Amino acid sequence: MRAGVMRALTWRAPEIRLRNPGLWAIGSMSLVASFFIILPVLTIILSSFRVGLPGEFSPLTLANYREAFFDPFTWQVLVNTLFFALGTVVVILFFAVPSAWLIQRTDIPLKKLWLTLLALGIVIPTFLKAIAWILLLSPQIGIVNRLLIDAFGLSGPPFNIYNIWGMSFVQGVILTPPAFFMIAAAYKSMDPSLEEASYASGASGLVTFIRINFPLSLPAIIAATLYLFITAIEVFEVPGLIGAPARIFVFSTLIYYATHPEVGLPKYGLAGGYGMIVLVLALLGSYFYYRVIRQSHKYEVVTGKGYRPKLVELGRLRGLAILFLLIYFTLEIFLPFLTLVWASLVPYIQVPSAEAFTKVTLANYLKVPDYAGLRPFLNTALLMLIAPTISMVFSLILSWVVIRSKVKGRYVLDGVAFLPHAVPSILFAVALSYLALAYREFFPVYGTLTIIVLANSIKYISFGTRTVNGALIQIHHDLEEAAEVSGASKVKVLSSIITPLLGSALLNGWLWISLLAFREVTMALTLSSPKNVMLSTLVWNLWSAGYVPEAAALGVMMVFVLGGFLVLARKLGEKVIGGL
Amino acid sequence: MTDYKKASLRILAGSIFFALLPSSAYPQSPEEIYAALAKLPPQERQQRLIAGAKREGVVVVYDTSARQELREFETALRTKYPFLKVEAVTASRGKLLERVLTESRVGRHLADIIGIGSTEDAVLIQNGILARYSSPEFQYLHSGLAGRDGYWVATRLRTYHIAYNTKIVRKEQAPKRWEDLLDPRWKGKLGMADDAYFWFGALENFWGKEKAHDFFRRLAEQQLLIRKGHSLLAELLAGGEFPVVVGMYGHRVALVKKRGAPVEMVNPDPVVGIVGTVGVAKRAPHPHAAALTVDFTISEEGQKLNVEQMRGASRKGVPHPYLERIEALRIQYDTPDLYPPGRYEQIAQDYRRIFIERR
Amino acid sequence: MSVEIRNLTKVFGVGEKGVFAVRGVSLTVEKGAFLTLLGPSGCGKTTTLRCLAGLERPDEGEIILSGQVVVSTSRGIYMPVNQRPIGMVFQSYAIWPHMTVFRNVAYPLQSMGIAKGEIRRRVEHCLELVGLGRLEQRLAPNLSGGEQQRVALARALVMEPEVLLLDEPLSNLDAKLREGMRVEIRRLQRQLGITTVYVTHDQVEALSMSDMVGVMHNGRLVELDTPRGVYERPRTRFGAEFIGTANLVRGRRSGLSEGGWKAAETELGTLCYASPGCSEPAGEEVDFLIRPEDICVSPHSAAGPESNMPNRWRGEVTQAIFLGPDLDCEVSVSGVRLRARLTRSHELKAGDQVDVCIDPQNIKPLMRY
Repeated sequence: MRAGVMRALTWRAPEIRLRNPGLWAIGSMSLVASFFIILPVLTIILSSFRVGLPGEFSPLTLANYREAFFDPFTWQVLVNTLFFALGTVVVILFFAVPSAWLIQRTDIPLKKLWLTLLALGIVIPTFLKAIAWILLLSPQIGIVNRLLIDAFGLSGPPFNIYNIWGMSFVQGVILTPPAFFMIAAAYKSMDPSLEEASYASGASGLVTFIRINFPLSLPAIIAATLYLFITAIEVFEVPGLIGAPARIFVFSTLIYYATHPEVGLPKYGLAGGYGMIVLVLALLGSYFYYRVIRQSHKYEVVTGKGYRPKLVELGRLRGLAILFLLIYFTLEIFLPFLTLVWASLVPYIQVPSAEAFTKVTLANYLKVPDYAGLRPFLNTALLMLIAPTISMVFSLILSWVVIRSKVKGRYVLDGVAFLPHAVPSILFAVALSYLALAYREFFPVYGTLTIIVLANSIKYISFGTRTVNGALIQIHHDLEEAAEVSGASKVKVLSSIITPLLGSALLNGWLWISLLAFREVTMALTLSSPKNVMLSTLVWNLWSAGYVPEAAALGVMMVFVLGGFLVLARKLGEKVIGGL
Repeated sequence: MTDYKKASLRILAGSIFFALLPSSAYPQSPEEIYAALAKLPPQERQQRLIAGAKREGVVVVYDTSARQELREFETALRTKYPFLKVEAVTASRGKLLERVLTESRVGRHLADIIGIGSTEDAVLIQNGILARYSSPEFQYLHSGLAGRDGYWVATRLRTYHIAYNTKIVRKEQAPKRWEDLLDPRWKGKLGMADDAYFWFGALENFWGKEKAHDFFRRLAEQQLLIRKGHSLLAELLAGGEFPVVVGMYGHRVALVKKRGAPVEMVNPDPVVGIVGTVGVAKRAPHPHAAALTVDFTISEEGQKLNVEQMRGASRKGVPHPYLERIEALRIQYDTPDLYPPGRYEQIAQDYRRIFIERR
Repeated sequence: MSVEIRNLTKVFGVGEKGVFAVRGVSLTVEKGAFLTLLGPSGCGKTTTLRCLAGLERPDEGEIILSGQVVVSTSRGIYMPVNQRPIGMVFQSYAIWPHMTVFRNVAYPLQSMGIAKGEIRRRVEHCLELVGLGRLEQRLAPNLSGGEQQRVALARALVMEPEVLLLDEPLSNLDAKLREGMRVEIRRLQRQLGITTVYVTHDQVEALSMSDMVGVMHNGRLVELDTPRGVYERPRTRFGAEFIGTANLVRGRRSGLSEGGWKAAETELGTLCYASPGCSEPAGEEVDFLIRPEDICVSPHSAAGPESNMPNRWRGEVTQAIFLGPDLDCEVSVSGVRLRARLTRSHELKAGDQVDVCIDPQNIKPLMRY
């Protein structure tokens, strides 16, 4: 009897597959994510063939490309952009690779502190950091320059920030934490027996790092490098604040000028034209990124068993290692942060002196609540909770389809997930804002908090999928198949096996996206309205309106609030996934 | 006829009546309202205006001012008209103009008052986005600071000056005229903003393009220290990064000076004046509130706010926050009539070619 | 019939790059029987098992599990893995490290939507069955290899599947433990009467546990017989060599020889053999399998080989290795080296002259393959 029923069922087996609601859910979620990514990108591409404002009807034209391509200045800019991006990744590598190894694989003390500092660094808005560096390294009043001149009796300032090295240095220091995060994962997952074999062969810790760890983590390092190379092509704040005065223009500054003219209307078409060049550069970068990533899978450790890698004993080098980290954090956090604190305490910028100290006041802090009100805090908190959640849910689904399913075209899906990273934020936000305006009847999000949340959710899917991809590859396929054999549906496998196993990776990705969304200012400004003021846009507005000490004070307060949030999130995270 | 049918007919008739009511009882467009209001005696006009504004209850302001400044404005306005809520949209000039144009194109008329600036007003007038509204308060303004057609009115003034750090430069050494900046001793010592387009345009207006461009080119030879943003420029001047800044906003100098920084400004001839304007939107959803707000902005009380915010007033008799003897100065204003659409784009391009990109 | 596979084919890759992992495999497993798929790595045994489980989708063929067609490419039937009536144990055990032992085993039952009390009862019963009753609250990473193995087994059995699939489950255990688990798995299988398909590359496992052994090579099923059958009467040269040690002697069939034996001309001389089949054509080349333990070796007697006995030659010991119970001995006969497995009572050393004889019953002609 039972066999008969089952046979009747199996006759309709193909239908059973189609009716599988879980697969439908996963499939449609992937499509929804793709839709929200592709639509703005298409809008940008279309706008590059138009003149005038988005939505204003104009015939398709190549005028923007003519203006962009036939101007020899553009090619100068291309060279600048490449040099800047290259310089930036050199600085990143210099700091990120040794610190990733030190923190993941050696017995360096205070690891939790270093990790917290790394995350805390990204809390200070990039433009405030850039300004802090301007104040630190200005030829005449730069605090660092002054100290060095006084200490060594120099005739002139030893450092000048206004050149491509200055730009690269500041940008590189700022982008080191994400690179650390990406590289550290590779060191963490490395099979310890490979290292142990090296020790057994009589090699020291350092030799093992150079001959074994480094080459093995090379694919991860190259992947992180390419990822951040693409970031460096796209970022605006540092090239704008430091590059423009040095008359070094990169594509992001040109795009900024085209979309944010002091007077007159933004030239989105031209910006789109430049944007296409950036997109091509970025896609070229991502092509190599993919090749490297595919290579690197050869080295992936596939294991279901827990292991505890042996930590390298630093011994006498411990002091040196701590010094290295201290130097880095001095550059990344302490100096800019102290500059901010100083700027928030004095009425106007001045070299610290006995006289300057008499003017120190806390008044600027008291003014902040009055200027800010409650709304920016609330908005920012909502953004920080919702955007990373949406982003990580979509990332999990997309990554799972790409890495684990056998669907045709799944690699295209991965490319789509990478796309938001390759498109300059400004253009992305402009496109979203236009779409929101054009389709406000169906989707009334124009000028709301929702659209900023949406923008951030989409933008960081690239980051989220990179994180999940890396972690997913390391989960033994058997764990998943065992669940399927046990009768679990795909959705159940995803929720009951993969999600908890990815626990720490998901939490980490969530936390980083939360912080990145917190400090994101470019898109938030473009999409801003009185109702969706963020702390980041508030700082920007305070600063540009001349409320410099108040802006600095708010910046300092943000660091403290976020510091607390970070410690709390880590504690909570440890509790939730502590059992692992 | 059954009762049922009677009832439905009554409802139909009623709804037609009520549908027609607003259009027959009130003039439809803001311009028609203002034309009707202008015919009334002042007292009655004011009463009508207040009654209308009370009904509307809210005014939507699109403005480039800082949010803090708008909050102060709102506080002052609500002290006088407690029933009026202010909803403000603030953004940079370009962004705001874009927003207004896009919203108008897609038929989303949200703004009552649009306050961007002179060149943008020219674009808005050209696109038929501004309404004509001649406030009775116009008569109290400095001459030339309200549009003849009533499309715009200047509510606040900014000025461009030469500024210097008094710790580095003594008063008698400071450059007095724009031309003094060309002196070789300032080579490599002049700070400048990367976007002082208005200053550039005003000098073009004053001197004529040829003389102005000759001056600009020679100034560009002085190895200018270009910085992005007036806030940064003011801080760097205060800190002593450079002794002199070309084309610096007077209110920014005054602001850091008020905080105790060793800075001072000189008033060359001409001082360049930038007008902040407002205009009522042609399709303003709250026309009474809009008119009432514009009137308040250029009233004595409204204009006094400017002083606290370090801006010049456009109304006669209101003291200037940082300029003494303003009557003795020649100020070249950038009113909208001087800037046909397209001119600013040209100026920006020339500015960038001469000072910034320097290919 | 509990498991039936018909003409199963699976290709990895596409077009010219495609590689046959499984080609045309057909087999059946009786209800309650234990089938082992044996073969070297890459032979297609694991792929076959994964097709059974539904973890791979075959390119061709039919699979029927306890009367129910779960795959039929011709009829477009494909039942997804989570609906098939199977339990499976993975080589890596695949114990979910974020769950306790209890939750690991309870998982399949939760997927089936069974009530809580019932789950508890069945999980406890199952853990009792595999001897893990006291460890239910332990987290998976804190288990030893053998314990993980038992958890995996319990998890596969808890939903009382029609078919149990095991993919090299013992390969990660040390030798002692492996021996114990072999017995244990077989005992459980018998006790529950569950149809089992077991994949391994270890012939001892295959021979000791199974009712039927299938040997796979290059995607093909080359042998399918009882353990004794595949050892004693392999059909193919590959099967003969893969299981146990094989002496293979090539020769050409001739006509009948005396005593009713068939005869062939080989390097050893005339080889008499028993063949149950009908007459094969004379003159054909054939490989003959001689197992080392079927070779009798005795010190050379002056009387010389009795001429009326078939398969009796003179040889010389070239190597003798003492293995404890056995003596592994290599004997050269007319230049052909034969491996012989003798009891330790033989005291032979290299260079000894010996008589070699082989019972024609123990000489098996192989299929040309």
